[in-house]
Amino acid sequence: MKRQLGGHPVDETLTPVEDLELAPPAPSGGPPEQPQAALVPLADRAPPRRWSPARWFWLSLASFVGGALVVEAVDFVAGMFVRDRVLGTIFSVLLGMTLASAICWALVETRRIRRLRAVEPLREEGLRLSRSEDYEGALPWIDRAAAALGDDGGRKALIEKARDRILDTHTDASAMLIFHDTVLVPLDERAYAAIARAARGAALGVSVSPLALLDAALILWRSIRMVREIAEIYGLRPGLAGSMVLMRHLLMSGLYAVGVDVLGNVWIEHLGGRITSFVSTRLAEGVVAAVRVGRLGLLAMEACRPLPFTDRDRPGLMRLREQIVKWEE
Amino acid sequence: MKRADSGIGDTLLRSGRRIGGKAAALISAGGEKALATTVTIAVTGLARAGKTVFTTALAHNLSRAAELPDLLPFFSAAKERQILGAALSNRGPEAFPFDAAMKALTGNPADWPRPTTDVSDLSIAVDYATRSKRWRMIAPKTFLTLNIVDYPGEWLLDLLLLNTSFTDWSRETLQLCRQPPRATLAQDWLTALEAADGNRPAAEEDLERLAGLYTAFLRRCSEAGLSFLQPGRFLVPGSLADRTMLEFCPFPVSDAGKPWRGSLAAALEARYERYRREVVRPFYRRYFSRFTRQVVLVDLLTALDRGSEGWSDLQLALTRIVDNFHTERKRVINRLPLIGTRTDKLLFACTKADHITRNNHSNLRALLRSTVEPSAVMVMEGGATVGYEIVSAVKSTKNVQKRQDGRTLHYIRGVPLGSTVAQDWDPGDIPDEPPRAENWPEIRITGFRPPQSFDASVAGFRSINLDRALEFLIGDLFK
Repeated sequence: MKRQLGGHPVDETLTPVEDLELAPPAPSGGPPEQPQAALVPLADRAPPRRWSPARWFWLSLASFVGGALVVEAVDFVAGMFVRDRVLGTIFSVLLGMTLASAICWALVETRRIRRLRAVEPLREEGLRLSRSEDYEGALPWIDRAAAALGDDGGRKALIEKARDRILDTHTDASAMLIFHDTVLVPLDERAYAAIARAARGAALGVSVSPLALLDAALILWRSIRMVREIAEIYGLRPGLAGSMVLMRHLLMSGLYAVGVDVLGNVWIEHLGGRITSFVSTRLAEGVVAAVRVGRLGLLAMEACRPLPFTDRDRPGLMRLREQIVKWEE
Repeated sequence: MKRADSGIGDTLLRSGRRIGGKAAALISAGGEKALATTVTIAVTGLARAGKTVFTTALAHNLSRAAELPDLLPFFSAAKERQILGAALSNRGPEAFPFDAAMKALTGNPADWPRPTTDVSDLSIAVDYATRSKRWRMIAPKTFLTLNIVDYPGEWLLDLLLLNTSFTDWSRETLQLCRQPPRATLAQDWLTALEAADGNRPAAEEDLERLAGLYTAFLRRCSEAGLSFLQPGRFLVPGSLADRTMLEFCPFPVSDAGKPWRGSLAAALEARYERYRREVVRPFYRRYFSRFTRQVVLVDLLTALDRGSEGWSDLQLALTRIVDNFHTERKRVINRLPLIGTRTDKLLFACTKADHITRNNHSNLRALLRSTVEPSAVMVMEGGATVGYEIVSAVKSTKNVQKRQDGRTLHYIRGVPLGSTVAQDWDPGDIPDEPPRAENWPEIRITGFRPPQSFDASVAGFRSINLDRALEFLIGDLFK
């Protein structure tokens, strides 16, 4: 069953991005004690939301912001033309080039993602096996996973290690948990690092860029690059459903960036345009961009993993925050 | 003047640094100590349940967990690389024969270690990195001391004597001995008992003769695969020097009142009381009163293989052991805060899980549960956590499948005891609840030799669910 949402056909079975409850910040007492947590897909947890006035509000706000964005860009270039014809030409060319190259880059990144194998066939079978008390399914699945994942980034060595750990007396469910802990948890670490890099980059870029349109382009480009990096870390790309979720989140991120920028400009003027208000507003925009990119990264991890997260290592922004503020490569 | 000033300043600074450094070291050492935990685990189990192998493999794999986290994939402290190292210490007169057991298991040809004949201790200090933020603020790493106590399984049932009078014990034992399968085995001793007159003055040779016959009867029972055998020291005396301590046996007590002092019956009762007072009570005080966590190893498979009589004897022994845990928990002293020690985790582990095919593992777990759970309910109601697991501390077989007439047949492949060639073995299907005597399943359990050419310096023992057992027993102690 399909429904229309903002011009994108969205599968009813999908969980809208806004509904996904990323893990709440861990209480100070440490992670919950759930050593043998079952593998539960994120999508199983949140029921799909119905149409609501809030939806309409967001949609209209999005269109408003989108419109404002175009108007602002046009105004900026037109303003330059008023100051000086050459300056106007240069800036319009620059703006055009920035947009075009951002789109090209996004296309290149998307193509690199397309080269990887889709995660869906593995994931469905993996989910079934991780609940099975039989014995003969896990190793063939791991063979298939090994073929799909390839050897980049030491994945082959990790898979070999998992194979070595699995004894003939481990049930499929146990074997899948061992695979999860041996192969996916180390890859998760790398993915977190990639997300942190992207979030920092986006925050920095958004803070210094003068134009809302540039903010949006920057976030889009950095996000797509991050999704590609994450997909390459896992060696698998998100399937159709996963891509749709990510795409929607990406578009919303762009709109957020623009909205925050416009609001920020209003705020700066309201505060009298002093340097402190300018800096603080810019920083706030950067933080919003980082959070959006971070959340997209977590969703991309979820979408690219051949097995869903266990309750124990469910990703959260709090965990990401630690990585981001470390500020080191 | 200036120089002197700077000299004093330097000295002050240096000593300040030194004091600061020492204080920091002291604080971090204090933090480590403050977080350190000690836990004593009793590895209990009836004779031949595999206690020595279990303890050896557990100690070896735990001590290698830092270098080989793959060994224990379901033990979270090892899996998450929390363990930094572990050191075994088994010194002293009652040291667990770890080296001897390892030598047997890693020798060429490898063999199973000799069964325990006396009580022994093993202590493992596990260094680990603290996990949660709260603990990390106090100390980044700390240690857990794990004391494992091993003793002959035969002695476990002696603890039941603590709450049983001579009269009750004699009545119960005699009742049991007059029924099959014991009746035939006890023939000699029962005849001698009938001939003996309890009112006669006690003579040393009478006591010796009766006790000798009773001991021989217990030995025959043990060989026949029976488990409920008291007193345990008659079978495995350990380091007991005074042999007269073991010269008594159950005796029919007449209803006519207490026997006169100096009679045979009175002497037997006095010896029983002395055994309880001087052998069982100190053993209990020294080892059992301080455990808070216990593993009870049960060899269900051999009992199943031996038939319904061996099985019901095992069940009787298990029920009585569990009742004993319950009684101990209820004792007033053990209810007092700080002083009392109560078993808070009790794991029933069915050993030798590698002796059956893997498709029977879930049935074996269900069988263990349905055998023990009815009596364990009382312990659980008292607040203890009870776990059930099937384990094989040193996995000595592989699972193989063969296709025949479109069906998959399951076998285990291993080298049977006394052979040198690997063989495929079909142990039969394990029922998921205690079988009835008239419908006894056909089960063929055979012993296998341990894996050969095992190099302990580079590897750990491959095991079945040893990690899950560890997780249950001590997983919650890692901060």
